[in-house]
Amino acid sequence: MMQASASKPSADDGAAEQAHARAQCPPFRPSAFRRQLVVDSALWWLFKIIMVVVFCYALFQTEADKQPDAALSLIFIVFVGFWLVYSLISARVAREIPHITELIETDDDEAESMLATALRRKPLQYAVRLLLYHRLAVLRLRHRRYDEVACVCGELLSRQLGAAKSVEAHLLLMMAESSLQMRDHWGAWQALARLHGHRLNLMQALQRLALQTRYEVEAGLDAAALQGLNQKIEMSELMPAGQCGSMHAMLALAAQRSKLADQADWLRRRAELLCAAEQLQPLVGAEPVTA
Amino acid sequence: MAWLPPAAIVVMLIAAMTVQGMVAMIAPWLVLIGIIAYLYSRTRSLRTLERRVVQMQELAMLRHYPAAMRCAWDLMPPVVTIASMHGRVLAVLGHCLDQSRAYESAIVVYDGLIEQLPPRHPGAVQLRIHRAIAQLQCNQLLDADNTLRELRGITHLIRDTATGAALRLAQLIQQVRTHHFADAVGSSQTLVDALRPLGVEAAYGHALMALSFTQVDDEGAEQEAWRWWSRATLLMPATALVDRFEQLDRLATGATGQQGLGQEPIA
Repeated sequence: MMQASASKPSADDGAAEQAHARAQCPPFRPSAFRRQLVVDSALWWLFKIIMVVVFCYALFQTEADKQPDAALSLIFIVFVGFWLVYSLISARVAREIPHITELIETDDDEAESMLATALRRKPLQYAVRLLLYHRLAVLRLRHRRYDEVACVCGELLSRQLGAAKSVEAHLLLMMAESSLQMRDHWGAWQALARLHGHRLNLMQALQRLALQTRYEVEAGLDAAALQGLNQKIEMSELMPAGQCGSMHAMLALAAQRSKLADQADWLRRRAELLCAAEQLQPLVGAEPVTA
Repeated sequence: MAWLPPAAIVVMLIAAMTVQGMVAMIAPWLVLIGIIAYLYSRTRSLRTLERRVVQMQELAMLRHYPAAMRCAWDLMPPVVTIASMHGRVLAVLGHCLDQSRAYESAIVVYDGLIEQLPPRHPGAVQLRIHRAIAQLQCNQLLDADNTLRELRGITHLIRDTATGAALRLAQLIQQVRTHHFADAVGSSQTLVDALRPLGVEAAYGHALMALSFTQVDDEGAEQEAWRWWSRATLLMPATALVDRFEQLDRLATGATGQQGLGQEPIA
């Protein structure tokens, strides 16, 4: 009796755990990602081959003068049918992406569950799958799993992004940030260098400025960090308060090391007004700026 | 209108299966090409609109208020059927009007936006605070008081956020506007921390606290006033502070005579 009553809840627990496990995205593996792309591509090619076969059949029917009207109608039905199936899956997932983006800000668990479900769907259009992985990188950045962020971004950036090219700059920003968090200055430099070839919007330009300043200060390039100081301060005032304070603290450190005592003092006093004491550790555990 | 393309496809599928003849063969393909062309052009026009809305928001962020308002005005007709973009355009318009000191117009825009959102929505709370500040600026003290009273119930939910800091600033403006300077001074201990999420705009709060200290007779109040004024001008030029709150003019004029105070030089 005791055993029976004990086993029932454990079965329920198991089901709940399984459901919970289903809702989680597995750790990113490049090989699994590439396999998904291959499956998507294979299904797309299958569609094309079926179309060619149907087209040949219709041609044969027309040549044989059996039922040319029916044959051409068949092409149309097969084409539209496959196209609808292929597009509808991707369209449904694409429609969920803005909602996932919102959820990443407000409810991590729900966002992860939706991402896990969407990533399992197939076939997906190439751009839609890349956009889903971009959102996965954003989510992992919020979780501060920087190694996974760098891995996802590196894998995506090594490909032609096609219709998902609009997220390339954001991928580079996340790559630079995760590299800096992992003290991989070479990786950060590469991402920042690539970013300079992009046309960025204002928010992205502010993020790049914050990351570049952090990179320069960490790498000891104080003169570069202090170049165009007034303009950098004006730009930093457009950032959220914490990030603005961090920028001031980093610039104060660069000024102090460059023996510019007055500037360092002015920047530090501003930083103290903008950031709490515990936030004034700009080079260790800084808040994610690109999430 | 969203159901039109799939409906057209379904009709054409049925036609392709039932009707015979040359027209029945060609028409479905023409319809399909038409649908693809329509969807492509619609996506392009949405992308163009989205880009223009982002440009407008950037102009507002860079404090180019007249240019941002011009953009918002131009964008209003095409985005009126797209709820999310319409809300963003209205929000920028309200902010620009507020910053340009057209407070009564800004209140009208804020009212319109607040009506579209649920009462506890974070955006609605933020808008109600901005509306209260605009009401205080144009002497609609009773309306502002009502709004701020309603918001007191959610203070604990927005602590340590930019919205919470904006509410604290609104309460300080109310105390100054209604000449409750002693109350304002009484809460000075927590002001720096409370306003921190506002960034450089915390300077308005510091300057108003300086003004409050000049209005009380406490010992050391004058010294405190100049300390707060020094903090304010460390974050923002005195001219910008006076531009927003005219009553700070006396402090700004007085500060120029004080050694080491007034507008702090940029690095």
